[in-house]
Amino acid sequence: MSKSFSEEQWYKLDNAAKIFPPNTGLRDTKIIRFACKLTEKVDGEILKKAVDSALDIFPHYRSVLRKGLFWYYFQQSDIPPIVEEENILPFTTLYDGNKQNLLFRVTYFNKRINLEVYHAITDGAGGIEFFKRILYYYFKEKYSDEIPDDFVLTDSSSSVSQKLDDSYKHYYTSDKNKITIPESKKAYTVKGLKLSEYRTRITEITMPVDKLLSISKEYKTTLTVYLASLFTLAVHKVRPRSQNKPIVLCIPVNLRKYFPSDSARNFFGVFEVKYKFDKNIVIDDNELLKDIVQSYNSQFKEKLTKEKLENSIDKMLALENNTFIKIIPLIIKNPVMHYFGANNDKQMTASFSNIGIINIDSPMDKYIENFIVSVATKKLQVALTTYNNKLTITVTSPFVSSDTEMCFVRELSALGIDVTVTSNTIN
Amino acid sequence: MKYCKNCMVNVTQDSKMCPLCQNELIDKGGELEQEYPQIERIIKKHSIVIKVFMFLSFLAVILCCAANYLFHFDVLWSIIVAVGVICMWVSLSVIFKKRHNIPKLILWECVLFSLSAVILDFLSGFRLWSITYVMPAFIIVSLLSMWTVASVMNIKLRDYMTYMLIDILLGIVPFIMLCLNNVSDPFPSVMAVVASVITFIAIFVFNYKSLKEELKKRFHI
Repeated sequence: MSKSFSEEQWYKLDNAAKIFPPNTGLRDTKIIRFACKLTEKVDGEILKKAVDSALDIFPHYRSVLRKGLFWYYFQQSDIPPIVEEENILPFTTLYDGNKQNLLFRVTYFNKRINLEVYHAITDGAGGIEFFKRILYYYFKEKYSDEIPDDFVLTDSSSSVSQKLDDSYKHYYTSDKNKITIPESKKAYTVKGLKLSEYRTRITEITMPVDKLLSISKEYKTTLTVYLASLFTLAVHKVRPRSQNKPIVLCIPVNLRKYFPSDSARNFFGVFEVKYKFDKNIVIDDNELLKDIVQSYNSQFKEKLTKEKLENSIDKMLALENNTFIKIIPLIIKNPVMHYFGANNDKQMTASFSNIGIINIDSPMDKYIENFIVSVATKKLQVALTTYNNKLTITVTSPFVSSDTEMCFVRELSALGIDVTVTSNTIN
Repeated sequence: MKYCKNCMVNVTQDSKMCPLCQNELIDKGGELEQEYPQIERIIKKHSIVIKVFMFLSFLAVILCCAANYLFHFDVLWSIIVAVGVICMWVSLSVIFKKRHNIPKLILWECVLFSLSAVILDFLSGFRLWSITYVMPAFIIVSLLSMWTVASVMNIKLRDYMTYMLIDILLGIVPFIMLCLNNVSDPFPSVMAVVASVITFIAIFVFNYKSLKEELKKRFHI
């Protein structure tokens, strides 16, 4: 461990991270899970060493979450990281106020390496960087004769302190401190029997990306918008006909793409797109899909601009920078934040997140078959990743019924795409 | 690889039914790989022994209330039984929940026992025995046991300093009682105040830096 990050080191939570602890439960553990399928069986001992090496570069993963009087904070810790063969359910709680443990775990099973990270530590884009770093050390050790000594990751130029940067603060511009409480609009939420023991079903849907790209082009839109539309249609087809509330998708945005930052912590924003189905107009699915695509397309264009995102950062930070809110004890803040979190949940149907293309430098890429990213949820959650022309859409769901997933997959396979499905539930 | 005719998809795992539509799969040959381990039931039910004890203790409380009502209505002794039983179960659940953090557990138990002693005292005529004897005793015992546990288990000071400081703060109660001249026997209260002050001075003198850091962390806004 480098000297500047001694055990006495501590730091504040970033803006996004503050929301997670009060809203963490057994159902929604606020965990992001990165999985990588290798071409060979995983060697646990080498993986352990790789995680230790990666931690030197990402020191904030070596921290535990503790309570202060007003806010939570991260405290550096020398607790050894968990690296073991997978023997617990995916998304098993990482943050438990009664225990002191690191907020991530690495597990392996057959050819898979899984990294589960508590969302307060980092977001999808930040987690991928840490995961890549673990893989880099793993391959370097395991295939030392095939990987040249001077091989380094191309995107490893940032310093440790840049990685620790709270970029929300960096880009906060407003000095007005104006607090706006967003108006509450109800969205359709999936209801139904949930899996026992807080289990989550993960459905991985893998397919070649090129065909989907050309289909999206036919619709004059992006892959994300097209898939979000397909998913919306699937949710609509499955829901009871009596339900007429709009379907609202919550779309996280990687702010690093809009505001230069090397932060390995949270730096994301969210926006919502919604579609209200008109009961009175009867059209076939194709026409309906076209209409959803068109609607989403304009909503993406409208909401995904630098100004709008800057505005949303200001709005979020105005809240935490308000002196009155700052001095309310955590014991009172927690239930309030929980209330707002639950309220926010009622305003969306599902979360739809495109993690993006994962690039792995040669010669490492030949040891990797695929990447799978999934997120814990008590609603529906879709996460997309592309690696090596392979698109993997992961749907996570706590519900017993897998009808939405089925409907979504059938829409995809009906396009003539070669779809492969993997699930963590075996019948 | 397996195949589902209804969904028109390949399925990688070794299962009889399609994970999406639960219809039968066709075997396409080739290797099947297990991608996730199969995890059996994980949540254990409460042991039957605990359930029996819980039932018996509630039974005892209800019977006591009934007996109290029928025979000795002038003294509400059944409430004392009820407080004792509730305190025991709360204390057990605290032990179970906080078992990973012993110094915190000690602090919680100290507060819990002191509180229930005050309640029992209040219910039985408020002769202040709880504040004269029980609370000072718990403060001294908890401070001592925190030191002992921490040194035996090798817990770092910064990991239990906050609980220690709160425990020291509890020493204010016997101090106030002494000032108000409310206690019949000043000896336990004086000892508790002395123990609190000594502990604080020890932390202040030997670990001033950590104390400052800890307060900064816990009180940052």
